[in-house]
Amino acid sequence: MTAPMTIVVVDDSAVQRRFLRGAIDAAPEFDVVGEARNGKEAVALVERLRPHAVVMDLDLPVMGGVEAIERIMATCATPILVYSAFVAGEDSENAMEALAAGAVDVLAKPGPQDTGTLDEYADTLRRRLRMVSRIRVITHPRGRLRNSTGLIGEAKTIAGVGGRRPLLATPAPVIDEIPTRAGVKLLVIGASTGGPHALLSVLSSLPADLSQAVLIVQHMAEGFIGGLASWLDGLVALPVSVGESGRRLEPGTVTIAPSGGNLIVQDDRLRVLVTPPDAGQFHVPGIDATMRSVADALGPDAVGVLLTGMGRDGAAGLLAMRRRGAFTIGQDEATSAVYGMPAAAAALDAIDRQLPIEAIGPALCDVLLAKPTSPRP
Amino acid sequence: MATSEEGAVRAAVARLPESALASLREAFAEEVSERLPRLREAARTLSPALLAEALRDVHTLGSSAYVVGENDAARTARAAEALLIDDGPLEAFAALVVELDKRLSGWVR
Repeated sequence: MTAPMTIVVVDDSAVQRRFLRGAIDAAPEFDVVGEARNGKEAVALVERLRPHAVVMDLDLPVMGGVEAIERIMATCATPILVYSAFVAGEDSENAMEALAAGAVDVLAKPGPQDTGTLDEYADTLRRRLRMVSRIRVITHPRGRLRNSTGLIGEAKTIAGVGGRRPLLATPAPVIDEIPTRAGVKLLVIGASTGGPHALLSVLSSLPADLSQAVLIVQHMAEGFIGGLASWLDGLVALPVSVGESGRRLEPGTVTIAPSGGNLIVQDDRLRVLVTPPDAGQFHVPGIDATMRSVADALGPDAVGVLLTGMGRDGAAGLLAMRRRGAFTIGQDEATSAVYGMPAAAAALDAIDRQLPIEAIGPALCDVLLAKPTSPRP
Repeated sequence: MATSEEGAVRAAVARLPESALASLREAFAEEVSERLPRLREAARTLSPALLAEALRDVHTLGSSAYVVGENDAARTARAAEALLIDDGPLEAFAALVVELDKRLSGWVR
């Protein structure tokens, strides 16, 4: 018999901790081995018990949830499912902060907004925890920086965006020369689990005067895409918004595919359409659907990037782009939170270059003939 | 009186083992006993220091009340929390605490 997956739950409310224990322990495959009441206790408990996964609230006393996530991911990387009352709708920027800190999934606490029963909620919790606990996560540099300096002090800020928050400064490794491409109109990026942090890393290298349009397809539950857009918009030089049917993708802007359908690029004038998902399509919005449309509409005048994520969505789409002459990049295994989609793309020979996350932004600047952002004096 | 929705929620909670259900109720009673008196005091004095703590209290009670099927109390606590976050009128906050008190005082030990 397989040993159960060990879980630590973190919430300052005894009611919530007992509910989590009851709901999780109801499945024999899980065993709640510890409870913490604040972020500081959580960091210590995870280091001591080394659980398979953590379920954690964000609004915690002593040490907040986001800081605790950063510290856990820096010292004892463990898959974390965020369990919070304020992560959906207008509060979804909190979810983005947690995902950027290294959490792999976010679930809103049960509340009056739910249409199902608490029993159904417990089923959802176990299903999400099952997925989260199987993810192999990597040590997260943001927490390392905070640990070593007391704050994210060696960070860079984005050129031309006064007053915005500092970003991480991770030295880009030396990589082979990247070929430049004239005439590129569109950069399309696909991402899934671990995507928000990876997207921030890539987009923070791109300058405000970028000549190309950027299109992102990020797997994300309904209600979170708007939060992702506003979170990124506050951190990177390029304006970021959610795409709409009938609009054109504009140079120097970032568009994120909306939830609920596939965003299709219709022609080389970059008009887009949101279409219903295919029957049985697992991930919505779909990366394959968008990348295939980009391959058809733009051929070699596009660049495709496939970042961290579970499954294989995007691999076939990236292959279609490469076959039509587009330059393609895949995130490497060492820096992927989940090396699923980029691995599938590599197996299909859909990738021109496989790069660590910190090298992808600078490489894109080379390909697109763009001047990368640099630290302000 | 419980609505049919609340009844369904309570029925769902009841599917947990009886020991877990009793433990949830016990924890909620302790939470209410600890936090409700603080909320009453914050609503009575409207002192900034007490209101800061009141924000955490209504936040916690808003989530916990739903878990034990006290949906109306959960909604009231959430409304009080939103009001504090949005810097709404403190008189309205005090009125919501009175309402919350009525709904939850039976849990106080």
